[in-house]
Amino acid sequence: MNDSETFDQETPVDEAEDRGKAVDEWVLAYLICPQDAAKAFLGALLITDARGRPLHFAYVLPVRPTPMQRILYGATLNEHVMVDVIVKNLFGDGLGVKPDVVFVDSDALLNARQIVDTPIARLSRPKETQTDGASLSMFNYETGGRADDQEVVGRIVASLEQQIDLLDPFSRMNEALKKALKSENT
Amino acid sequence: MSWRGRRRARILASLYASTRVTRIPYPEFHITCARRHVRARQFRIDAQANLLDSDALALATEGRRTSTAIYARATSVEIDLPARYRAITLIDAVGFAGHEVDLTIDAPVAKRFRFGPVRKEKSLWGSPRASAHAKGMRLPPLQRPPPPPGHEALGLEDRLRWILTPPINELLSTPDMGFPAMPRSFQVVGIGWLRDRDSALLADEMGLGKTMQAIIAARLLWHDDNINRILVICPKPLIDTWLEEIDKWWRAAHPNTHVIDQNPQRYLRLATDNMTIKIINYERLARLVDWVRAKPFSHDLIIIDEAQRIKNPDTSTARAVKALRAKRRWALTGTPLENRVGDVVSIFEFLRPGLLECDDAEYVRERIKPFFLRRRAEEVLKELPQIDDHDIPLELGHKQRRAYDHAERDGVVQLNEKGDTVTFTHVFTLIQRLMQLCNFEPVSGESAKVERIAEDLAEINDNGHKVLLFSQFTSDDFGLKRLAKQLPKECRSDTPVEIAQMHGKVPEGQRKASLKRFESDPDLNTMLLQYRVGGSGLNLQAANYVYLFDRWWNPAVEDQAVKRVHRIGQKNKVFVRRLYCKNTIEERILQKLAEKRSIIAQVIDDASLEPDRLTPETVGLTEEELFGLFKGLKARPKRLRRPSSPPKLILDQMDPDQFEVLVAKIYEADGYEVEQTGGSHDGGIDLVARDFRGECIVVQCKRWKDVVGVRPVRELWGVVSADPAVTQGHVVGINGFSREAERFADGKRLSLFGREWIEEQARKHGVAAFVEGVKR
Repeated sequence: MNDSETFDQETPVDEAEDRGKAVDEWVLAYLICPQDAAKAFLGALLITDARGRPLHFAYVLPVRPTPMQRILYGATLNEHVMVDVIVKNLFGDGLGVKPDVVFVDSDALLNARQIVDTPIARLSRPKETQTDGASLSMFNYETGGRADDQEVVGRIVASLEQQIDLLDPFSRMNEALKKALKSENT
Repeated sequence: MSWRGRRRARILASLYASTRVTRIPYPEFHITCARRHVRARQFRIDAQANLLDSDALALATEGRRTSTAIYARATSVEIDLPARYRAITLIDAVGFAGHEVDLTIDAPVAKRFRFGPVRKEKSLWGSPRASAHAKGMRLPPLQRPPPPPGHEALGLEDRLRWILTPPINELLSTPDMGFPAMPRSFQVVGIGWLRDRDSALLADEMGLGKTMQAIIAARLLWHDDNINRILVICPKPLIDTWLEEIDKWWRAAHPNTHVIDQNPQRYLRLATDNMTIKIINYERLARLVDWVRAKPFSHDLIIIDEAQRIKNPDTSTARAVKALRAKRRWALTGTPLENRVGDVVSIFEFLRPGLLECDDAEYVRERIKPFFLRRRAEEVLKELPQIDDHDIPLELGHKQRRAYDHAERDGVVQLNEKGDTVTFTHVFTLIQRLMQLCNFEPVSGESAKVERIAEDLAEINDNGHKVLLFSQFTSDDFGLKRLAKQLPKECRSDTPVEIAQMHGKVPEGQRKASLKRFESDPDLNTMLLQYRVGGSGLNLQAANYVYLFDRWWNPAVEDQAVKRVHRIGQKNKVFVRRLYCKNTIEERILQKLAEKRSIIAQVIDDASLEPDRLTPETVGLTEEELFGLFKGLKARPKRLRRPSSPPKLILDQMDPDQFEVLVAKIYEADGYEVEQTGGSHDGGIDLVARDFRGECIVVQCKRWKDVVGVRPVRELWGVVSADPAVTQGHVVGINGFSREAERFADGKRLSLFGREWIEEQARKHGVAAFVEGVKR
């Protein structure tokens, strides 16, 4: 592994830089690592502008650990494959544009924060019953307990949720991933 | 079970039983793996190496926090790992025989797609979500429209771009787009469809807003920084429509839109970093065919409107268009092309060169599917008001009948006198003359048609409705000009008949003003239009009555006229009245065409046929059928026996007389009667070409070794401008024209034709073929 592939988890996000950005300059990343019916690990990264329009899309070929690997990695397998393998490759060379926030759709992917120097948040839509309170926010977000990330993500979500459906890219990239993998097989 | 098996079983039992730390008291092995975050990638045990070396443990890691390999050489093993690592199960997997197991799991990135930087533009902010949020509302998740037709046949990147881009309806409904109205759902589909295609043929039926869809799709591409320089090629009468539509749907682009008129070479090549839209008409571009082919240059997007103009690959128009370079190419046409394979092939030679390798109909249909979209009005515009469409047969009045019968009788006699020298041009001349007499009796002005319309107008105008009247003639005696004078006098409505005219003899500026006024001024209630000027591209929904004062051979041309009012935005029921006079040539032609259409569907369903060019092919009748329209007409044209292959000529070696004869033959083949002046005419006129419609072209033939300069062009203009009978002046020169000459001819009734044109016309009409003789 060379140095360029390492990610310093201790380096905080440069918030001063973020504060200087206009709302429409945010760059958002969406990360998914679903598993298909055969339990193969899939992975895709979508980077969009602040309007949700795609700038970059990448996906990995399905990962199918061998039975021996499943045994040997045991309970660490999921995290290892998702974070150390898929996320690392997706965020590796050729990314081209640096996102300000990475939205994920599962708690397991919050661990990717160890190797990605960008705040990561799991985004979800509040339940219908969750309409009380002062917050009008259309989304819940969870940063895995990192207070500094919480602030950055909160600012981005608050400014963008009024403009776009922040969750919509997840469904788009799931569909795109299916199409892309289907084309790989044909 | 062997001793090894038993031992493995024991170790495993111990491992799985453990909760956090596993210790295996095994005398020969001692492995310690203490780092919590180590993740094994390659675990190799060389059990034979140092069975007795109890301290020999090598733990190799790479990287700072993740290890890629652990090499263990040990004589005894102490497993001191959280149970969840279970690395020791390797023992079970490989035994003690020195096997190596690759534990590397990798997931190479299959593909990366970059969709281009997105232009920052504040104006697109302020989606409906923002206003909903401000009101404390929660909007539901986005509803994605279904993929547009042909989506599955696109390349992966194009398909992914469509999937990954936010639903277009959301973007288009952003108030700051500044649209006068939200595009209809089928238009939204069309916009997205165009945006996602580098090559596209949008063939929606007339009136469905093709121009608007193309403009908005281009606008979206521009916002995404995918395009900057746009070239629109359209027929001249549609230039104003394009300007208006750009103003309506992409106002920011309007100031950067240039109509290329003067100095086209300079403006075509003009490249700036800013967004520009250039509009040029086909005729002007065709004149530059040699220049375009010699100096190709590129645009980001080329849109060709009325794309059927390039259906014939041999024309200079088609060659000039195909010589242009562009990253994206879109074609718009309302003409049904599904069954016109040849036309489609030619259009796709521009849109996507190399896509079609043969012209087999099935093959072509299959190949163009991803790039072809056609919707019919009846499918998508169910809300359009109904049309009440009737033919109105009329009896000629006494004076008109007498004048008509007299003219027909005399005309037939004159044709018979011509014997076998008669041509279809002569027959057309007579037909046109008789059609004119069906409009007006020239001396008294009697007109059954005007009488009928005046009667209807009284009621229509008093009810506040507006009327369009179409005719092919404009003259003071038989056409729109006479109608403009006579109609207000004969109409006895309480509301005065106020008329605007739209034909070739009305200056363009005035036409534009009339159109605007017709839309907004309730007092201006009647508009008279010539088919070829007002028949396409105009939006005249302010009217809902259409009268076809005289008829056109091709019903598609008439339908285009009707579509001026029966289109999006029309709220009233549309009434169409097609007038014809009984027992006249009008009735016979309609009957003949109807008979043919009942036998062969869509004999001529091509609105692209130029309304002012008549040949048996364009009217849909054979020469025999044309002559058969007149009882008692016995004369028939002598079958000209053209050689099986035309004579081969060397253009540069012809003498001036031969060249003149060649040019004369070209005009004759194009339906003109040509008089060779023998140099006797003023201004060096060599030929005078006249047709049955009264067009009179004076022609200078210049077989010069050098380019033709401005002087002869000036002389010709002197003749054209001085003689009111002359409609156009043409200069034909084999070695092109000086820039000054071209500049001088611009905007005047002058056309300059070079070698390309000569060769193309001669080939088209079978007059001659050419071989290279002398260097050009």
